[in-house]
Amino acid sequence: MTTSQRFGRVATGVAQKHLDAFAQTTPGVVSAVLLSADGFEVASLQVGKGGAARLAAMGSSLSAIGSAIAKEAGIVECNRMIIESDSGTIVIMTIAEARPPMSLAVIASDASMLGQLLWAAKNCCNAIARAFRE
Amino acid sequence: MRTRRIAVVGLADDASQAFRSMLRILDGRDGLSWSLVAPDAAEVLIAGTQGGDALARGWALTNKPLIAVYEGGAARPMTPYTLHHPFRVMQLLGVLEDVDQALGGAAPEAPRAKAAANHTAWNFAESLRLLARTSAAGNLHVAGSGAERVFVRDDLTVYYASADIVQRLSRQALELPALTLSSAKPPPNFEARPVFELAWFSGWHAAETPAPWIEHTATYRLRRWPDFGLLRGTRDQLALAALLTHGSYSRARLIEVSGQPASMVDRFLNACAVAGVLASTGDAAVPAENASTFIASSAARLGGLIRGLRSRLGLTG
Amino acid sequence: MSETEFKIVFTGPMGAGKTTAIGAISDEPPVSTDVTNTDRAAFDKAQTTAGLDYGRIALDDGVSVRLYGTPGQLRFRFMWDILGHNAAGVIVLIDASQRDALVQLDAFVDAFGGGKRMPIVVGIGRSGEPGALSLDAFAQRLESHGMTLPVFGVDVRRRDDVLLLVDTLLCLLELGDSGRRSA
Repeated sequence: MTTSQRFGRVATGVAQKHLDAFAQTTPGVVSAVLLSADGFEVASLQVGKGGAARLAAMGSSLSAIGSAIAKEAGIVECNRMIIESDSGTIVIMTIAEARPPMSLAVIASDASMLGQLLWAAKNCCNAIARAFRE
Repeated sequence: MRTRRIAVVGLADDASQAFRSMLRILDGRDGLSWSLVAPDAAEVLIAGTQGGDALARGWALTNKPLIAVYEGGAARPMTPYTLHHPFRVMQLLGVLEDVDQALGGAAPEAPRAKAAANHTAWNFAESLRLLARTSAAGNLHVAGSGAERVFVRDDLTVYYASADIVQRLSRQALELPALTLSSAKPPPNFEARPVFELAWFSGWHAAETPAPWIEHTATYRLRRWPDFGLLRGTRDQLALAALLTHGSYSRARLIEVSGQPASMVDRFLNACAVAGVLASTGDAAVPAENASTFIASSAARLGGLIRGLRSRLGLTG
Repeated sequence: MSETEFKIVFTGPMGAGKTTAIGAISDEPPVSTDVTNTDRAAFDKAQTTAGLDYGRIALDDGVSVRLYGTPGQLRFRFMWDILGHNAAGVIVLIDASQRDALVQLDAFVDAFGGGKRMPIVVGIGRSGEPGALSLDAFAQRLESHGMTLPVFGVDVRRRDDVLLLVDTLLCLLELGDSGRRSA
């Protein structure tokens, strides 16, 4: 079963469009992957096939570990992970109410601004959530 | 150049062809030449299951090495040298090298028949070991009488015994006579169990001293770990298996290095021998390149941790 | 390897019992990172480990033995490397009734060094069940690759069986001293 068959062809297509729009309108976005919680790539942007698959798996592990840590710490929900370095930022954002559960992983260069990046990513996630809520 | 004489029986045409060309490829390697001869002139017999039963059975009564070839989902024969068909030339080389070392080992022991007659405790185990070396005809062999009987299929897939016997088997010697061919069938209430279990415990409980076929001067190693999940292995047994799968030891050296009593080591070697996982390596030790690299780097620092963990998990004793 | 820490990795395909095994010996219920499984065709289980399972055994002198369970699927291979780094030993759990059990055995044993870098003990569940492979098939598979690893039939729901696997790993680690003496 291909990705689009498993996650729904229409919804996947819509998600792809939202990813494209997000990257075009947000400075510094290098690549992005929409991933299922169990590590499959649903849609991706500017990452080669192998790269997208790897990012999806790694993103899901990070996300899962982040949630587990949050739970240990008594934080009810971990919905964002931010990994920052001098040369760039990685954001992994949980998409609320998506069925199946998903996250958006974004890789941004140092040309991005964190606040703007998070805001735009959140909008993108909300739009994707609507597409997959059905 | 050392020459060894090998005979082949019971292999189907394609397997036989493959074997012959592999022998040609391996000829002269490491100063060893393998010459294909008739069985009565051979030092080693390689036997498959496609015929040649009588020959393999006769061979099993001697001390000479037998390489048992098995295929498909059949159980591994309980004899040290086995090959699963189809096998690759490097696998054949490995087995031939082991056989060569075994042949080059200590002086041959006393003739088998005489040894067996002097050790009645070993009659059952010995007969099981012989059965293990011959090819399968699908017959049942039986030892004992009435409810105390044990049936063994000669393809060594299962043995049949009452629940009571199965229980007692792991705790004590059953004192059964040698197995004989039988047309009787096991009663319906008898359980079918893996033969390895029967072989292991028969070997373990027969005596506290070395079996007739254990040579005091030979060095041994294990070709395969016994299934300690099935056998409910103890720490001492695990430790001995760990040693024997990572090096070759004579009986005396094994007692020294393991720090275990001679009776324990003897039981272990006996059980492994009857179960067909013990290989004699002649006088030569296993070459160093086979040793795992972790052996050099672990232990000393971990000693205290290992003791602590064992204690915490209740694994002492 | 740290002087005061010691970690054991449990690995193997999905459904082989890694989380159960860790739970059987960990001081507290293991931390798990289960997520919704979207690939029910590959394995019909509602949840799957995306990160790791984590358990711990505290020893008397303040030292800890850390227990890690890896995710089972090949796409999480990078986690096997991360979790396997500096591990004292690895326990590979395989379900003999799974269709590709032998291939799985090869993959996990190979990924963790084939028993050379650190000791590996293999626990086979459900062997001998109708339709499942025999234990012999797994041992024979490893032998054909030149490996003589402990391969035991176990049920990881039984604590004693998990302890057997751990004890065997410890015996292999203890070879370090005696192994050198016999050279």
